[in-house]
Amino acid sequence: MANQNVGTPRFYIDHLQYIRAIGMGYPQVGEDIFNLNPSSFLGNKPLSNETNYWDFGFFPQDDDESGDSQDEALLIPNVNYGKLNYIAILGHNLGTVMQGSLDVNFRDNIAYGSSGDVALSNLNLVEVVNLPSHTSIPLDGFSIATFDDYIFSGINLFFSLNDTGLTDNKIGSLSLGGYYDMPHSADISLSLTHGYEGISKQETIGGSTLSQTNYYKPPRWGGLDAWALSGWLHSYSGRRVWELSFNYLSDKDLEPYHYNMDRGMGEIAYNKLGENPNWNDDGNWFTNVLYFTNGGQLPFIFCPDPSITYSTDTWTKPEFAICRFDMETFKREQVANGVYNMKVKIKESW
Amino acid sequence: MGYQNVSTPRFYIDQFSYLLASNQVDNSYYDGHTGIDKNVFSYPGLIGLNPTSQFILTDADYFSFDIPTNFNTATPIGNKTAYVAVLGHNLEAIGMRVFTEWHDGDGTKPGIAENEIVNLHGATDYYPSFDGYTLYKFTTEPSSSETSRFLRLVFHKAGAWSGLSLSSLSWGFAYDMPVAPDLSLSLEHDYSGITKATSISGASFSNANWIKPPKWGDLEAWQLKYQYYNHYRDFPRMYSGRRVWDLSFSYISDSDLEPRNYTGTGEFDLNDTNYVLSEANWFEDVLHSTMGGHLPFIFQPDGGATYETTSVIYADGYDDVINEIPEFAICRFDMDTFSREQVAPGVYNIKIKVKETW
Repeated sequence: MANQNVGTPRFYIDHLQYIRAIGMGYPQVGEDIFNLNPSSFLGNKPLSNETNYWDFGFFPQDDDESGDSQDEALLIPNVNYGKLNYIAILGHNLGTVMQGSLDVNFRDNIAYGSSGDVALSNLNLVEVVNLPSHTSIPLDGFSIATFDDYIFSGINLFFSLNDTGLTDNKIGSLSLGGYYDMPHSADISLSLTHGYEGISKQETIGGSTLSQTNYYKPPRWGGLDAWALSGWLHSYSGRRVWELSFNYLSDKDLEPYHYNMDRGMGEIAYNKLGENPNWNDDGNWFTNVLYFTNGGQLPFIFCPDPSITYSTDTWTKPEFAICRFDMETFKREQVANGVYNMKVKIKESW
Repeated sequence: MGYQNVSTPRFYIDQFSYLLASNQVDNSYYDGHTGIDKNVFSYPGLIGLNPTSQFILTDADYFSFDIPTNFNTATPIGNKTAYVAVLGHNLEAIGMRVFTEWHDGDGTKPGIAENEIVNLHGATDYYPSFDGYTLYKFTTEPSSSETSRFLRLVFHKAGAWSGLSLSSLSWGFAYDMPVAPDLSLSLEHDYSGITKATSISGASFSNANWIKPPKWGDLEAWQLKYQYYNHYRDFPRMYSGRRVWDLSFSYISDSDLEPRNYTGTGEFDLNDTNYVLSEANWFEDVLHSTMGGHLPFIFQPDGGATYETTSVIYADGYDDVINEIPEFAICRFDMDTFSREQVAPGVYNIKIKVKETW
């Protein structure tokens, strides 16, 4: 599609932002890279040389001096992080400095140890842009990959870089969460706006125009523009706003069967439709997008057309934007029995 | 229906809230009360529909509340269906049962036959399977006008017990709309508690005053939780936003909307011999008892939805999983006026806006 056309959009929802917002986890050791704000100063300065890992969540200490934290970990309830299946590293220079590999390890409160229970490197990374494997990041700028669905209920996770020499690493932001593909494309009557409301103009008494620019594009992520890859041209201007309508969405694409999600011990209950108990298995708009973004509060990564494939040969890549919903209410209107229309307004934010 | 679809909705109208708001009951109602049951005025906020605060109770064996009804008739139920809601409880965790009786305030306590709506009966009747909330209905009349004086909610566990959590006790009458709403309905998830500001450099700052209803104790509103030995299940409820329903109802009969007249609730039959109660109607059963948009009520968007669980048996006990469960919300009408528009003689259309509140 290209040319900024919109296909069937994809939402990369950063679950760590939600966990932070509800106070069930926060950054610990290392800089706060778990913040979907890659234009922070982190992209401009090397990360600390003393560490090669960054912690997020709640971390038990060895209070009873038993030599491990297993007893203490059991006192911390596991937190439902939801279904994770993407990682994005934004505003980095790992294409230049990473010599080894990266990984994310997840831990729950059972048999708590120094290593993780599950490692991202075992979850089959699939490159979206500039992240072909956990041992390779070819270019500076940003990297996104998907991986096998992993429903994480635990107490903490840590991101690590191995064998990089630990010099001049720069990472603006690490985003981890689940992506959601809309069930079908938006209506044809969509709009894309480039907003320049950061520019104010004034006309003097002599008729001259004076123009003042507070901003005309997102701040750079370190040495590169937002969403730029090193060595690639990238023209950024304005704030993008998409207004999209989706018609004839099925009820099950919008909401779970009921809100009392079953994440128990694997026993299966079937509803009257003979469906599986974990009503979120197939994904839906409410539980995958609205819930984890708190409506319009938290940012997410929007990809207007994920069907565009990344190719360094032809210099093509899908478009992305860090956005928030510019809406107070999310309304679905019934147009046939169990069939609904809805509209969304998505505004690039930083 | 599931998937938050709306069918013929049901309204659960809290009786005590109306009596309190219209100054029909106060502490003097307990004059002559023998004191064997708790005076609900000693537990302010417990009776009604504000389950975001919680009482933690300790006692032994029976513990009960006498809720004033302001009735003085042997047939207060008539052709209606009454309900009881116990919201924000931990009855399952402490192994306690709940049941209801009429009471004259002096020891005469005719029983009531309860019918489960959600989470009344576990492995043993009247012992809920889950913590969270319980809802049941009944049509049993009191045996006399005297015993209609109080509705008695009884909690029981043999021996001393402690740590009973109760957020809210509600009782009243259920009203089913006579027809399903029109197709062109809408459901909104409202996030107006979030304010966003843009700095001079265009950066966004977002602040959330609220994103969902407050919890009822440790659980989300309308969440169920189960724990039995090592079997732990807490049906995490993904609550987000404030729900708002815009509904239109077309071609409703005049008798479904208003009573025959405002001076009484009944009428004589065609032969003028038998006095019959007026049919359930929108004005008397809903508008009047909620004072329009003033008082909250429990809204069930699909009144026909049922509650079903499956028990999974283990060597050391059993585990319940939820197959079907109705949706509920504590709501108010978000309207200043309630208009009915005539489309045929004695046939009307109405529109309502129902907004989740806390």
